[in-house]
Amino acid sequence: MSSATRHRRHRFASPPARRPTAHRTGRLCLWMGLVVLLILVVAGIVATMWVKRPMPQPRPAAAATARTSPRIPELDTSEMEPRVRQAIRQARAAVIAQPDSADVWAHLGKVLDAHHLRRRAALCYREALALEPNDFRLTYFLAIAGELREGGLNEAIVLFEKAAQLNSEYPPLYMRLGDAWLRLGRVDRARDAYLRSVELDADSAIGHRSVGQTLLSLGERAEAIKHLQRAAELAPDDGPVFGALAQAYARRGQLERAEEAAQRSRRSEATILLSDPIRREVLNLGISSQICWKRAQRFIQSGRYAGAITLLKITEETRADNPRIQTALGVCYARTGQQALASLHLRQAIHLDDEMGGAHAELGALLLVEERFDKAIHHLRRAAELAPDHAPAHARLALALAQSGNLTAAIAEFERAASLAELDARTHLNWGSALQQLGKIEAAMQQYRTAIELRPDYAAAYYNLGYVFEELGRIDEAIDHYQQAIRIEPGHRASEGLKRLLDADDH
Amino acid sequence: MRASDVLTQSDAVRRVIQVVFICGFLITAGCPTNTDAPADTTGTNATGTKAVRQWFTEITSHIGLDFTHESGAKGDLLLPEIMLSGAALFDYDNDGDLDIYLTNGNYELPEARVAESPVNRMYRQEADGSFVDVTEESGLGDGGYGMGVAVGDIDNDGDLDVYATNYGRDRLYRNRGNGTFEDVTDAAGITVDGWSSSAAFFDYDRDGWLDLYVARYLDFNNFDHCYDDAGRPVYCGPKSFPPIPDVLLHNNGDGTFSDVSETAGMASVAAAGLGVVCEDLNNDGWQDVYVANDGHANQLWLNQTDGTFRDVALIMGVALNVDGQAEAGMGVIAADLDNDAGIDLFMTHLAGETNTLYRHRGGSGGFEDASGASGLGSTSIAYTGFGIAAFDAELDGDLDILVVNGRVMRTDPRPGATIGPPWDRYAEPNLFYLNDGHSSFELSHDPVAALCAPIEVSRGLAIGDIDGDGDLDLLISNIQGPARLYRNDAPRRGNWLMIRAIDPQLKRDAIGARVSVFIDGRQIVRTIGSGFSYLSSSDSQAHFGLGPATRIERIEVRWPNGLQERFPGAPADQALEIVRGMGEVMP
Repeated sequence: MSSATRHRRHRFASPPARRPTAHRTGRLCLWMGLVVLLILVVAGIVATMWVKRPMPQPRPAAAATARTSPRIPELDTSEMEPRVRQAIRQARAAVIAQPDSADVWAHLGKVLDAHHLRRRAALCYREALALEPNDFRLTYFLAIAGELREGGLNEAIVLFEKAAQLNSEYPPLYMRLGDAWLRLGRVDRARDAYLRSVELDADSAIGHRSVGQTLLSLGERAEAIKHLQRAAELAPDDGPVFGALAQAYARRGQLERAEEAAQRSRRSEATILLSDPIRREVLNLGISSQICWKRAQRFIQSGRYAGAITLLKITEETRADNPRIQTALGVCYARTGQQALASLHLRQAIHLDDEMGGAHAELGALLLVEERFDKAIHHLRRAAELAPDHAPAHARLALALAQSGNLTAAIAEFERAASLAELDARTHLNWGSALQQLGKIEAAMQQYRTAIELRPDYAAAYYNLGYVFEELGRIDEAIDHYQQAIRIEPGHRASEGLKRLLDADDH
Repeated sequence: MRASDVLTQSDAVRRVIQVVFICGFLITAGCPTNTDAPADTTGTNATGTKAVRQWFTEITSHIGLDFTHESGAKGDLLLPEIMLSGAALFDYDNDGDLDIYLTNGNYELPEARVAESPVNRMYRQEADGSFVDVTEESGLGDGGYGMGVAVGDIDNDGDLDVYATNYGRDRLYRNRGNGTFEDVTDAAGITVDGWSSSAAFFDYDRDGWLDLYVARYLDFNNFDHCYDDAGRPVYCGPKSFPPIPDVLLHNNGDGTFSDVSETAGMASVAAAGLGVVCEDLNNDGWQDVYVANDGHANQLWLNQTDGTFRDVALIMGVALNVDGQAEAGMGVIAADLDNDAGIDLFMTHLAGETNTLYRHRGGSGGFEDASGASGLGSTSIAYTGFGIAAFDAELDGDLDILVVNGRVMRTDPRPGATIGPPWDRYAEPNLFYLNDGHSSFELSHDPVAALCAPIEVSRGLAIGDIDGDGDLDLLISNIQGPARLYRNDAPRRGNWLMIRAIDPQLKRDAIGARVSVFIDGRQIVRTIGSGFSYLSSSDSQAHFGLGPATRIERIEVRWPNGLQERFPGAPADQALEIVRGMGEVMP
């Protein structure tokens, strides 16, 4: 519309001008004065109520979700990675375009949440929740995003409980509710929440561990131990489970068991993570190199090397100079049979930091397969130097030395490895083989026997031991061991030895 | 409706002005307001409103303490620059008042000195209560990349010596007794290098010579760069570098120390130690060691009485929190926080974790995580705590707690931060908790507004009676900011007693002695010692708030060598010296 048009319309639409009289002006002033006074009175009352209100309490869920005018959170993205900045920018643009859509608010919240920008994520979830007050996911996400801020636990509990009304069958929700109660010191309420979680998912290691820990706090030792033992069955490598068991046994006066559990705990990391598929919806939106790096490490731990490579390549885009990332790429390529790429990345890792023991060890192993013994031994020796107390590093070096024919040095490294930790069956087998080649038959047999003790289905160990018996002329024992190897692995080369012995017997 | 609830319109207007004023003040101060909380009020301010009497008054500039910390940060986000530094309160010249020692960073990492590099500084208290910088003449201007400080009489000559921990080589300074110190690191055979954090003197083998436990952190390298989940550069966390084992140094009694970590058992475990406290935690009369580790299970090294130690933290329930998690341990104290005569452990942690109270269960029953129930847990979840002290602020007979905070993970710049960019991303207010005497703590707000007004990146905290008035004052160190000294002006809700426990044969304070005073059938327990908090060293005397009691019934002391003695009662409000061998021996 042109200004000329606006002007014309104004002229025709305006009522005839009326000249205000002095009387009218005075009355207007009086009314205005009264209005101002009224505003002051209301402001005074409100301020007084504000003064008299108790310490700021977390808003209950209903109030928390009451929607006023939406505010898109401001955020300085200048230092963020471009891909993160872009994701946030797109999500914000969607909100600007559709401010009344719970979905777009939720998406912006999730993008922010996924990158650990939780305060702002909570603002977005709140806006979304005002539009969709009974959305389980939004309630749940808001509770999680807000619980770690100052005074956030109380509100988080309200929200978790509201979420539980919306979906009472989701175990992780009760785990988080229990955690929140625990932080507030309400161990009894925490126990109840954890119990509900275990009720819904009887095979949850983290659930049983948490129930056990809260029961222990409440003095219910016998029940606590039951749950902790169940957790230990479900997660036999979890350090905290055994830590809690150590404490529980100690309180019952079972000090030997306590010490045993404590030792297991010290040897183990915390392995149990809360499995939360709904929350994964948020976490999967995380695209920064740091998030990809963390995810890749989890993939590697669980043997998903191809997936890890995809994530590591993203990480490499911004952090190519990080030797750990290069090492991880090398490991993943090696595990997926891409030896050339593996070698490339491992060399790059070593170039960036010559003290990357993992890269040296992995590259040494690759070179060993290629039978480039000198170079393999160089890298494996470097790995062992960098981790002098790491038994596998010495065991790998020992194997390389043995394969290169340096048997005496190999045996010294096997002994060094054995002095540091219990070795696996394969290492005992290799050790035995080196001893056998040096003519130390009794010692070799002992290593083979140890290998069999550690791994009763180890066909190669039976075969090697059988071969020693054959050499010693103890034919019956040789046959027994060959047969055992064949029973375990029907196509095993022990069948050749067995045939040889049986043929000789026939003759 | 009470009369006071009725407000006239003019009252309301006045209250609006009052509220605006108070809010403005409190927003500036960064403390949440709590107008319902009982507060001591005194005087009127310019607007005619009642001002809340402040329990702690900053006297830094009045007394001439002009220390400003230098971290050497240049934007490279090198982990050591966010972890320092410490503070000490001790009487270095034996003139009866407390002096101040502050560790300092450097312009370069680790010890590449450049011209006029900052050094650790020593301040002597004068008779009029002012402080004079005596760094040069004292010889304590250690130029390493300064982390912490431990204070103790290593040669039993009656004066206090100083051990400075560094990122780089640690240094031992022997007090010559004339106000000067000599660097005896080499002569003493001390070769602790790498990254040391907190350290504490104690006599673990009861031979009368103070040994030294040095917590050590990480094998840091500055090749790694770390990023947060949004891809922004951040300080690397402790898991980015391999941890290094702690060190136990045995005092040979001839001016030398031997590294006995291997035989004692500590050398085999590396766990990123940051806080250490030495205390008899199983009540067998022998000093144990508790180490707060960053991201690793904490350790309770139980003294086996034969020169070796065994880590029983898991069994005793002080390795992991109630959720089974190893937390980011920073500072630590050992004190009877619930007035049951058992020694509890309380330590500070990273934001997102709670500060954790391990309450002694009595007898040899270990400890339990009571963080939630005590009120110390959920209130700390938004903060990253470092320095920590338990003291009876208002002398009512129980220990209150101050935690000084400052993040290591970046966040939005905090409004009202006293420190500018980039440190305002790490600045946080400090937290002061009042003990209700029944195992429960409540955050105090208005009366300590002045104490938490400077929102900085606080690290070290040391306590001692600076002005000799019978209550404990506070010294706080801040990264890239001033050290601040606060005088305790809390309204007194009781009487006090200060006890110095001396072993005449050793000619020094009986570090590790456990002192109990009895009033109205109640036992109050304190330990003689200076090594607690984070990177810091406090006055070693035992301080007691006595509540209304004007006299104590008796004193019982368990000396570090195991001897127990009873001393007669005494009037309150005095500083007592009790001497081993002068009491009545107890069975």
